[in-house]
Amino acid sequence: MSPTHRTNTDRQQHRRDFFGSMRDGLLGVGLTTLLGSDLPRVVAADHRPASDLTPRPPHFGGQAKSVIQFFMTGGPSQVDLFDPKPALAKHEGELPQGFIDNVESVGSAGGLLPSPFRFARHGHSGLPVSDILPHLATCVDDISVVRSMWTTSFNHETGVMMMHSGRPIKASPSLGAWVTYGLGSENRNLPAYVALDDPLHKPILLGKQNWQSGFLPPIFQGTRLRSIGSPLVNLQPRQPLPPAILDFTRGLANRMAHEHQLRRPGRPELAARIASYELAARMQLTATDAMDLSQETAATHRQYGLDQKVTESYGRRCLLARRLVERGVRNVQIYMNTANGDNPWDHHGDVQGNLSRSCLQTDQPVAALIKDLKQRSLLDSTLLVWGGEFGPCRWPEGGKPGRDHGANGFSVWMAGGGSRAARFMEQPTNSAITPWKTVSVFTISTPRCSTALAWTIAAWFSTTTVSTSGSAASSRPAWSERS
Amino acid sequence: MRWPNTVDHGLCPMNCVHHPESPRPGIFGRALAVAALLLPSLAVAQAKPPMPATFESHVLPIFTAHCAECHGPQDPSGSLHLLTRDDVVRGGQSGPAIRAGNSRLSLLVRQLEQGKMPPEGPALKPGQLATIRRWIQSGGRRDGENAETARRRIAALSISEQKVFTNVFFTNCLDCHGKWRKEGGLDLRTRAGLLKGGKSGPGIVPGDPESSLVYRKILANKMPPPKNLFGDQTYVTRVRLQDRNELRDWIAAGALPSRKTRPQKDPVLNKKRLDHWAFRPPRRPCVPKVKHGDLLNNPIDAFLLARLEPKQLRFSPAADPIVLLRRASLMLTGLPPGPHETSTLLDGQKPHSFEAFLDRLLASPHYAEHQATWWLDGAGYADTHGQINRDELKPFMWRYRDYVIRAFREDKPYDRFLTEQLAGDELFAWKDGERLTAEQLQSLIATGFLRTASDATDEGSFNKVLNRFGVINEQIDIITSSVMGMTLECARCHSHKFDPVPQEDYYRFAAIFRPALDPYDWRIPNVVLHPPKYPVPNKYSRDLFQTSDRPNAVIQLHNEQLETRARKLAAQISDRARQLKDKDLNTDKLTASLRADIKTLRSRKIQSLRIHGLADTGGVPTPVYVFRRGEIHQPGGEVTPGPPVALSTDLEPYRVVAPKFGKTSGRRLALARWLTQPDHPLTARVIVNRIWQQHFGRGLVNTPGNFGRIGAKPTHPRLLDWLSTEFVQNGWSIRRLHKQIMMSSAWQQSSRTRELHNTDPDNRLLSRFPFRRLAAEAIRDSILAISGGLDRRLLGPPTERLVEPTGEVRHPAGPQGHRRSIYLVRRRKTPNTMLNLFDAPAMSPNCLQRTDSTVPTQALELFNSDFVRNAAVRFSRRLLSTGRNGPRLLVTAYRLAFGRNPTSAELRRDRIAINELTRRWETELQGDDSPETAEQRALQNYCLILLNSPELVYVD
Repeated sequence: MSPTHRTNTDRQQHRRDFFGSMRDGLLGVGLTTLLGSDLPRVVAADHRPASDLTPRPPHFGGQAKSVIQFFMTGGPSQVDLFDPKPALAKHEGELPQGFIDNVESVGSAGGLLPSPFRFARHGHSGLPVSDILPHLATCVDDISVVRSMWTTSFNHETGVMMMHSGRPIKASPSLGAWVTYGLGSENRNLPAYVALDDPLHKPILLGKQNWQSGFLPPIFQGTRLRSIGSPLVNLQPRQPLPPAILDFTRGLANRMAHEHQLRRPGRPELAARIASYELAARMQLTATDAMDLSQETAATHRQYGLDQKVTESYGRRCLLARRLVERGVRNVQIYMNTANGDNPWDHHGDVQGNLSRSCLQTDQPVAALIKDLKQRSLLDSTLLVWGGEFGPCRWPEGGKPGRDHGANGFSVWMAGGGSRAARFMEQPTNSAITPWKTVSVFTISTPRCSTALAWTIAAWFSTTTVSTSGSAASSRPAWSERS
Repeated sequence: MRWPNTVDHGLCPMNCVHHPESPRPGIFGRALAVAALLLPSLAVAQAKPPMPATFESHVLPIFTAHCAECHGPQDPSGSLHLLTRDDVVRGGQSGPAIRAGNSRLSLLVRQLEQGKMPPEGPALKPGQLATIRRWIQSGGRRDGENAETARRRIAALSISEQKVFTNVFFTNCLDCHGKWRKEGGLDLRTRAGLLKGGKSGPGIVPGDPESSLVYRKILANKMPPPKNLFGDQTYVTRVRLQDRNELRDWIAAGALPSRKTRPQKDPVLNKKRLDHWAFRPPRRPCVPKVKHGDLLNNPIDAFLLARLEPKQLRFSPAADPIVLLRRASLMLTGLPPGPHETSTLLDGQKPHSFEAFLDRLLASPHYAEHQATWWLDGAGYADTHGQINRDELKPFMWRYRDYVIRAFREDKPYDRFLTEQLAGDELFAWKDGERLTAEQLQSLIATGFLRTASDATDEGSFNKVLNRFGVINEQIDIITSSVMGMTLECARCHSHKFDPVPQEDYYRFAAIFRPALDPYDWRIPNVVLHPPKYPVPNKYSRDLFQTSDRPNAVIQLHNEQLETRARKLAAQISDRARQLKDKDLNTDKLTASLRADIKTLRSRKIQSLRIHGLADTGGVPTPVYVFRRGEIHQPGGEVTPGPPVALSTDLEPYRVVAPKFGKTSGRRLALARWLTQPDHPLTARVIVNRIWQQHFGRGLVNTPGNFGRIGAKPTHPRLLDWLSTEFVQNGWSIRRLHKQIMMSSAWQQSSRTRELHNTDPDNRLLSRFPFRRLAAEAIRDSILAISGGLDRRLLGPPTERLVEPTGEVRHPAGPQGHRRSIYLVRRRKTPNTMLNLFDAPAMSPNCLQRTDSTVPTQALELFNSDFVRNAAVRFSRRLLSTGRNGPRLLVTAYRLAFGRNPTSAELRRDRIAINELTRRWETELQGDDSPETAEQRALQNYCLILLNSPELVYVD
């Protein structure tokens, strides 16, 4: 036997070992990271691996492991949902000078518009919730409402950028990208960061930018999963191959890749590529499985409102969010459908009709998710954040009974993940005519979550901590806190 | 995507690099700020009214003891002098140090509280800090000064003339009272103009705001008027409350002109920082002597070998000629070699010389297309404006892309190439609408380089001064990173933390572009202001308009397509009219929406040929001020245009000579002339490094956008200098540089490694050729070239994209096949799915170093997508059409896909595999009247496997 021949035999042997390990479904090489690591760079450069999704423990002990973010594009009206302002009725139609000085453009402002909805106090905390959120009203003791948010712009785009990244510029990493960057992922077979938007991908405001990784490596960007049909682009081919053919094709491709690799020793990127093909094959099963709602009971379907047309679409995404979080997905962002490209929570002309409709579509699913997570003991490890990019003004636009954009104050709520529940900040009742920017400091009850979450939540809420008016502390109204 | 730079930063917090707009501390700082704000606020709330303190008696002793060393009268650090009250109030580079009456918002107190100051030596005692707070809280008085005098004096000191002008007049008034119009005879650009006033009398009465006409108009909301120039009332900005108050206080304090400040030498311009290799001109080094002279093909090898030999290393053996053909073809043209190019070698005949092959490649138009790809990466090229969902198309941006391709095709000298792109409009007498020669036209189109920043200022709500500065900043970032290898962006908010770049440098550099990009005299990047309610004259557009005596085919096609769609809708209206019979169409909702659609379609028609270039707007531009901490509302001293001072030694100075012709200022032309001096320390080095990076995956400096002190050190500094000087001597010819690199032994060595490389593990010394993945475009183009679906036509308008319901973005094929990736429309919001997956960069703002990710979605794309499956079918048909079968068919397949012959083992394996596939398909197809036979199906599957092979996406 010539030496060359012997080498070949050795290689055959080696290859057989390799295929043996493949049969066990194990690809030892390069699989320490989820969804592929940036291996060539890791190897070639002397940096620490910048793009690594290995799960990492937080620097400080914390409860939250995942975040679900209900993003309510358009600016849900706080004075019609969580923050009753009885004084609005008293001053109906007036437009105090204090407001004018604090807005950039009064445009076609009319006078103050009282809320068309009725508020009632709920739960142990006595949180007032308006009558268009009947389901959420049953979970008030699990949520904490923050009424002192404000932002820098009353434009939707800028506001949405601020709420997703804390900055009004387009190249900033989103909240979820930071979470994933800080904590890595706990599921090797699913994306770490998922965005659930309209299943038909009707455009939402700013689109992909909402889950971008910005200047962080692209591996931390969100993956948009569709809630109906195939969850990922090209997860399945348009015309699937018969299983017998598919198996053989994959096998041959694999064999060629391995032989290619064997001829080029010391190339970890080739191992990573082989692993990525394996992972892709597994994802066809796991992603499909995670998105398969038929595994849920009929009762669960009913709970999330999947049996009703109005709540079906949003309910499906809420239920999916739970299934993803259960599987270790780190960050899920849920967006509402947009009927005609409008922002669903923007109620210029008709606050009564539009707001009721948006609440009807989302209230039951959101409440169901809170209860479901709680029942499965997942609420403590999952932080829920509900809110939009700003809240509307307290006056109508023109003569119509709607509300124009306003950046000077709005409400969000959070639940689970160690945030202290059943808590809200109450304002003095005359604050309907207090210029809002003086309301600036609020404490979130030290969310006991990881460092990464603390950063991101700090970024998320950063707009509330610095006052532009320069009189943050001195003119701070006397907050009274109820719990 | 310049992430690696950011990682290297380490010391510079990311938020500082990436969002200097905001005066607030970054994410980390914010978290701290929550705590910091809470604690003292409680203390303040409970405290009694503070005891008054005065400067000389209480505060000065503290400053003298702790701060005077750095903030004394001689060359104070940060230009902050702390030994007189007035200087404290005036502040330094970061703005006023105190805010009288509010210690918590006083910068000085924040620095002390956070322990940032004093930087060395003992911290202030709590009692001393309390005294300073008390002094500020009680009004910042001097000894013996009464409260009212102090208030007025401080108000006058803290409000500068330029602040009032920037925030009140420049931002809100110049459209009607500036360069172009002087409504009521009033010119609000200067203090003199304001004092002189207009028809109704002087603008202000110093000392008496209530009698000052301008202030009263603003106070009464009469000015700015409720509608802007276009009759739009939605987006009229109003003077902010605080700006209005500052105008009042400034007038009240006597409307004093700004104090002329003595220019001070910034401490960052110190010897340690200036003494950096990249800021000194390259000197041509001697070619080193080496032991293995037989390995040398040209001097490049000597420089590399001189580093390898001391480590007992050499180059790897020369690569197989067939490997070299594929490598050269992919590196230079982004396409695999065609069968006719490889056949001589593969058929075992005597090969042609490699040099002749290189010359053929370098003369190929595909070379120019591939080169344009990386230049456009650096330039941040996209066909749309980005930023917002509308993602407005720049319908003629492709003309700049074509300019770049043409330039590479004719090997335009790099100095000329750069000059045209920076100042093409300043090279000849040019006026709107005049007929141009072809060369003039090209140099105007070249200024498209200055129009690549994302820009949504054609949307009313995004046309604020802050947004305009955003566009300018992004453009400056693109220019400085891609051409100069400098991170000038850092200096927008503060003097550079590592490089000898004072903050003024950023603004001096920005001033070069001010005559063309003036945020206070803005041109929108489009011809329509959105929402398109009002006609906007062309002169408000930044686009340049070109008259043409022939109708342009592109415009015609574009307009015809729109018109066809509009006619279809019109037909629907007539149908509707028939349906509704007697009813009034005007009240019908459907008709109304159809009519609106027709109107929108017709409004999108293009009337004239445009150039997305840049030209000076004419007249005197607004003055450029340093913005303290990068905030556009905090102007400091005025600057004159110029390049970074650290680079000025040993060079011809930057000198502006306004050309005699036209309305141009000559500032950009001066920049181009300054940059293209043969001795320039950065220009040649940066471009040579970028070309080296193309060949070896990493540059000689591995941070191509940062040659500064925290950029990567060059692995072979002498080689870099030798190449740079050689490049300039060879007439800045990029083509010759490529050939020189590719003729070296280093380039022609094998990429195979046998032993573990303990001495050169990451191949920095180039002991082997780097094994690399292809770029996204080359992968897509290769698949097309192999499968025979590539439309090889050159230049022209881009292929429009299609968004599938699944969210997939495709660029469909034309009648002659798919065009090369460079000709696909680059829409920022909807990038081609396949290119995006393989790391084609998102232009935010540009990309100097691509990443190579390996993710399963790439596998899904290559294995499942219609694009690749169709290519596999096409490939199989191409193979069958050769009339070959059996082993000869397999040989053809391997030659097309990998540019080599299969080994006998591969032949055997693949023949067995195809037979097995055919057998399985026969079982599957039983009883199925499929038009395709089992053999055809099997071959299609086999071709799909070949297209998924790693050999296709990696270069040996």
